Amino acid sequence: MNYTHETLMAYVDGELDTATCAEIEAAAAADAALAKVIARERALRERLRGEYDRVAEEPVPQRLLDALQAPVATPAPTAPRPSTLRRPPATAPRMRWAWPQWAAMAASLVLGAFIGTRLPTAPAPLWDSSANQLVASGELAEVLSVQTARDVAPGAEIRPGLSFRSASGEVCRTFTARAISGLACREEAQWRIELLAAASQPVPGDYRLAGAELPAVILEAVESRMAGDPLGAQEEAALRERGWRD
Amino acid sequence: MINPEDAIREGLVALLPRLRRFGRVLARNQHDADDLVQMAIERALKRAAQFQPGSRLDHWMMGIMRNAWIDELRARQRKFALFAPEEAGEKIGETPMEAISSTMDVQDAMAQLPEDQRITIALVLVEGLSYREAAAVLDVPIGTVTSRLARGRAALQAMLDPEGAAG
Repeated sequence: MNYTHETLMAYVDGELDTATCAEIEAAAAADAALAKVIARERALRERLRGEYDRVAEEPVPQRLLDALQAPVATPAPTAPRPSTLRRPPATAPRMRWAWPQWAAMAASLVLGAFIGTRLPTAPAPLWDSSANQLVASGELAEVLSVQTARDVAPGAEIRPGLSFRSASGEVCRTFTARAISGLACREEAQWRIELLAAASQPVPGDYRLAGAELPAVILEAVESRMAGDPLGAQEEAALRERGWRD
Repeated sequence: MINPEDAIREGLVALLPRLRRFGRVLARNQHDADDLVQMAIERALKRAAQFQPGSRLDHWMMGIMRNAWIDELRARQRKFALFAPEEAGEKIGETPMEAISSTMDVQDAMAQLPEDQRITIALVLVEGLSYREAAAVLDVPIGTVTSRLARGRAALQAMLDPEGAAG
């Protein structure tokens, strides 16, 4: 065997140029002992990879998803995480405010109490539970009402998934909003949220079936409610024109 | 324009499964491993401004996790200077049945490796980093990566495939 063990490891790890690889492959074809060393190193790689890949396939614990959403603890008060679409102005340096500014701020707080989601420093909420039920609000309501499967921008934070008619005749849509997935059904002029769950992990490079990224609990809910087949983008567009009802 | 912290939050969502996998190599038990991932997320968000846009977020995170783990080990050593680390005692309680199954074998064997070798093996053999990338994550010369890999692999082969050494 003319190769050092380190060279063979580098070969197995894909560190060598193609010419050297070809040389080693030719040598291994003629040298059973060399071929055996290579096979053994490959087997180790595969065994390790197989072992730890199982971890990557486990569902991600909620606390890690929460940690991703948590505001960063810094001495200065930071704005809660804004959406990318409606970004509050950069925080101005602290200053002593004159009375008119306090008055203006008080006024905007009062206004904010009425319009809720528009207060610039609030994290535009994606849902609202004020009327004893959870309904989509802000960007989520907008996305659900406006976007068909065809309108989804790649990498969009908030996007619709499957649309379908429920057995009771409502139009329902799944969605993913950052780390959360959910199911909402159209009721009067609102999207009533039926279910929320931690989003499952998108597989990078995976071509995306509508719903492929949805967690099992959402898919089960879809299955139990759905009458017929999921709606295509054209049907979605037609429903959109009619305010999502038949 | 997306601010660095938001960009990192976005990127990390997709990376969580891989970071958990790397965490399990470091800490072995699931709870500690996830603690480590969580700690790394918090550190990463705090230091978002230090991340170089366009560079590899996964590699940056692995470096943070590795450093967090080394800090954790040092803290444990200070606290329990007289006791062996928890991992070292784990083999004792195992039944022979468990020891035979291949899943126990691989993690047990990895646990026997010195920390530096185990982390380097994980970066290259499990996470698929090149030697150069692993050297950058660990902040060591490439020669250190190759020698750790060689020693770590030899030890793993001796534990996992003692029959195969004859070749």
